[in-house]
Amino acid sequence: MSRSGRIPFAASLRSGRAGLLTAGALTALALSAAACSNSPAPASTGTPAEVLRPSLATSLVTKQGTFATVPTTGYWQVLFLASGTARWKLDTPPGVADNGGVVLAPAANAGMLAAFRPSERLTYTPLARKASVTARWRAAGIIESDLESSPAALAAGPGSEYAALLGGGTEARAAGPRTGSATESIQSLRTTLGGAGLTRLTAVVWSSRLRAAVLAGASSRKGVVPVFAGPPGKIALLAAAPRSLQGSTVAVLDLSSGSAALSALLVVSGAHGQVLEAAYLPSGSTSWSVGRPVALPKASDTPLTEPFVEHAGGTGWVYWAGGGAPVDVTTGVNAGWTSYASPPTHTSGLAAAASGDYLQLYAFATRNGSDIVEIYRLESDGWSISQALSVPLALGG
Amino acid sequence: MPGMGSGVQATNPTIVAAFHSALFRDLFIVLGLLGVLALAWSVLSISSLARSYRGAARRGGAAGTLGGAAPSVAADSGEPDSPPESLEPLARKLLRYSFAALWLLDGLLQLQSALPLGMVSQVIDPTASASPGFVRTAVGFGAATWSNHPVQAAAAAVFIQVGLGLWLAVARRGRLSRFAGAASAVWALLVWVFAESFGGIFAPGASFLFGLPGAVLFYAVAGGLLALPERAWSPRLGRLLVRGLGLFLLGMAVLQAWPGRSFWSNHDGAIARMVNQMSATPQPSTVRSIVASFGSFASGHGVALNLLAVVVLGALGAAFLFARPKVVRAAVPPAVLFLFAGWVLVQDCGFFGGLGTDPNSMLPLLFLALASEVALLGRPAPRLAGAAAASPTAPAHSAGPSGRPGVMRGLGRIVLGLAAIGVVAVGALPMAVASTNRTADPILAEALAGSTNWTVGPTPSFSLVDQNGHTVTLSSLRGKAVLLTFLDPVCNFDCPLIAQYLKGVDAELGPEARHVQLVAIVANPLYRAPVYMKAFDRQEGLTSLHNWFFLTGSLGQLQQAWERFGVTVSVSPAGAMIAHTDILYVIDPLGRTREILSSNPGPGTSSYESSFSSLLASAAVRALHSA
Repeated sequence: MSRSGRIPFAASLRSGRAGLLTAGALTALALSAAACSNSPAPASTGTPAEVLRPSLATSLVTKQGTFATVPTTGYWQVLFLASGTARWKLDTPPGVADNGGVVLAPAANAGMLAAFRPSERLTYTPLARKASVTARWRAAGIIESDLESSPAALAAGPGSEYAALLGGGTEARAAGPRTGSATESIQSLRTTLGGAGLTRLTAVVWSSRLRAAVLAGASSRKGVVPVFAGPPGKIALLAAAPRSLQGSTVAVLDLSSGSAALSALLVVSGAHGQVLEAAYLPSGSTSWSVGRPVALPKASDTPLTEPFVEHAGGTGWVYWAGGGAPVDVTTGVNAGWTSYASPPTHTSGLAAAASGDYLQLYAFATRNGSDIVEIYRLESDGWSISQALSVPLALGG
Repeated sequence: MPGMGSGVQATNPTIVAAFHSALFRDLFIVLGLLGVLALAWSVLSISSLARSYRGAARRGGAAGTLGGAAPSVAADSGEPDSPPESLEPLARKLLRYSFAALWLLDGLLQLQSALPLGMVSQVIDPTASASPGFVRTAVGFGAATWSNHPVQAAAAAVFIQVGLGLWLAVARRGRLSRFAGAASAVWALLVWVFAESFGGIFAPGASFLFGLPGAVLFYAVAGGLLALPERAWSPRLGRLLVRGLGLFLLGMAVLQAWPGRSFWSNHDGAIARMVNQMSATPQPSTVRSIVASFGSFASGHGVALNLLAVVVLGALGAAFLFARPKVVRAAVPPAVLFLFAGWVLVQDCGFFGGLGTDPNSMLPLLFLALASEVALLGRPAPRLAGAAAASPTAPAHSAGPSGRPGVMRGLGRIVLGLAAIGVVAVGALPMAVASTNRTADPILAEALAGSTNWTVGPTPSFSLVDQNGHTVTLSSLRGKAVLLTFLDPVCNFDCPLIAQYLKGVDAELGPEARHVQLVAIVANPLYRAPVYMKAFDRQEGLTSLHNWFFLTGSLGQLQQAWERFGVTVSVSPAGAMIAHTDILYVIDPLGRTREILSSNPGPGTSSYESSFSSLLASAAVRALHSA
């Protein structure tokens, strides 16, 4: 099971979950769906793919370093590892109780948008933004609803624009100071998408290539990869499902946009049970390519998913079902899945970070009542502790 | 500081002091009542004696001969057709005295200082939370009444229960005694429903060993029996009671034997868990060591213990169900042993485990079983020497052997009975009034806020903008009373609660609210733009209030305001909210600070909300009329 801790990949990293943003106004959900927008014919109805809700504990790889969201006693922390360094530091946005969880989305110019999910008696979602990895977090407005509990529920567009999934995956909202706010409910999306069988929205990402927010969800229709974009009323599936998925229903677990391709982590339900597959939509393609499947472990209802982007082959993915399950990693198109040793007990978050031409995996372990986050690194002989980060426990919450 | 989740400890000194004051106040009322009744009794005694002597003198009889005509009022009841006191059925007497003792014990247990605040959180809620929705709805009424008026309710419970105990003890016969039984049954049923969640019968894991179907249900049954006419006390009633008891025990045996309820487990089974949990609560060391030893035994022999319980319950149930006198007589000693052992070893004597308010179910059931057996076997009532022979059902007009002194004793008992009713009334009347008042007593908020800083002095000036961008200064608020506090618009606990309290003030003030301005100044150096305040206002439903200002400004302006008002605002690390002082200024229409209160909102229950709103509304009115 255990392999070398340093996972090689072809080229330099790009940001996970969103590529480099180009300028473009975000009007409603998107301005255009670009040329690859192609609505395939509706398929037959099947059993809806079971929609796992991935943990908010995830990581985002940027050129400047890796951000990780980690739950600690009562609160969530944002940790940052600058590229080329080995020491994580605390970078939690201040000023708001983040008991409900923090969702991060890469923003333009290596910035970052953070959303504080509602908790306790707070019913709306405050936002914080930092202009660059070295800048301070600043208050950045609110989303007047409850952000979906998913690491892919928030996308940052150019300027102060954002797109977000709300109401338990039943609506998507895009807003910006210049464009105002537009909301699409799942009912209207079902109407627009025809027979796509959309049951719930699960992910949103900003595609700089499409200059649009791309939405994803879960479908009850066989042979549909429910990833779509477009202006209001004209939203369409981005691409057709490959032949291998024609007899299966698909739920998108996570979504990522790179400069070379749009990537999705899929839960595929078919006659042979559920499998996990990474799917890629390269520029100009009208059909999704899927990698080799891996059986979906059932250890957890809230698995950890970590996207990271490869220069040419699309997004790589890290998947951990929790408990004693191994960590599964796929590094890109046709790379298949490789299993690595199960992380230490008490692990509550994983992070993928760039280390030269390799991917380095980290695990964050926290113990109840402790103010120490133990940070483990995957080495060739398994996980070994690399750092103990003290988190000042504060009153409040 | 916000977000501490701070509530009020059950032994909060403010609440405990208020509870003691309420007890003393009610005690003085009771003593006054007793004084009046004693006076009345003395007057009646003297006039009665005088009449006797005058009558004797007229008849020329010897002084001191009191064997005049029998009074038309029976010895101790005021009921013309009651048999003499010696003929009270033994089973009834046993039931009456035992449940009188239980009510007295319960009343004394209600004296615990932690009961005003602990009753809901430690007694009512734990059972209710495990019960279905309809039970929680029913219990909610009782919990809300107690939560809103904890001091009044706790004091009332003491006097009602002590009063019932006294009433049962002194009212031996007749209507007064039957009324005591009826009152006892009614109160027990109220407690059973509203305080004990129907004895937990709808909660999972309920077991006879743990108190099913609730001790007070047995009180209610006993009260109901005592309310029956005395002629009903016959072996037939005894047979009915014994059979009912048998049926009940058989049902409990079936429930105890039911699989899948973790009673059939040798390791950490339900019995062991309960006993060990009870032994961990504060109690005398002797009792603790007995219960703990049994807990250790139960931890390794859960199956055997449960089997024993099932067999004993089943056997006793069968023995009682057939109601054969010989069998019942033979079954009573093991029943007493079983119930007593269960009471001590599993139920921890009822009141030792946590905030006990009664001795739990085994003891009252034991008394009920004994009374049933006595009734079945028709054991004769003890007689006073020379008492007239009469059946319990036969009318008797004898004054008893003592003539006029018998009348006086009877009058004395009537007076004592009335005194006991008075004690009940001292508790029941205020509680009945309190249950109709949905506004919580300010004492809860006072307990949280601590001592109010009464001060008359200038209020620090400020110039900030409201949520709509309009400038607001202290002088612009002249002519109105002002409640001014500090809120963080992205706070997720305390500040929304305080906002609700302020909203409650507006509602409570009614038309007078137009003379009171509710003001909050932002207490967050990072999230202080109007967008957050508007979102907060929408979240808390404050947008409809015409007298609501949520003020902000530049960071410099806010820092100046915080400093002037003595408010500490600090950015907490690691995902926590802003920490700031919970404080509220009460400002009069001339702009002078009248009171400074802590605005610590506590746990945020509706009772605290109502209590705070009530407290703040009173403060606003005082400020309004002080100028």
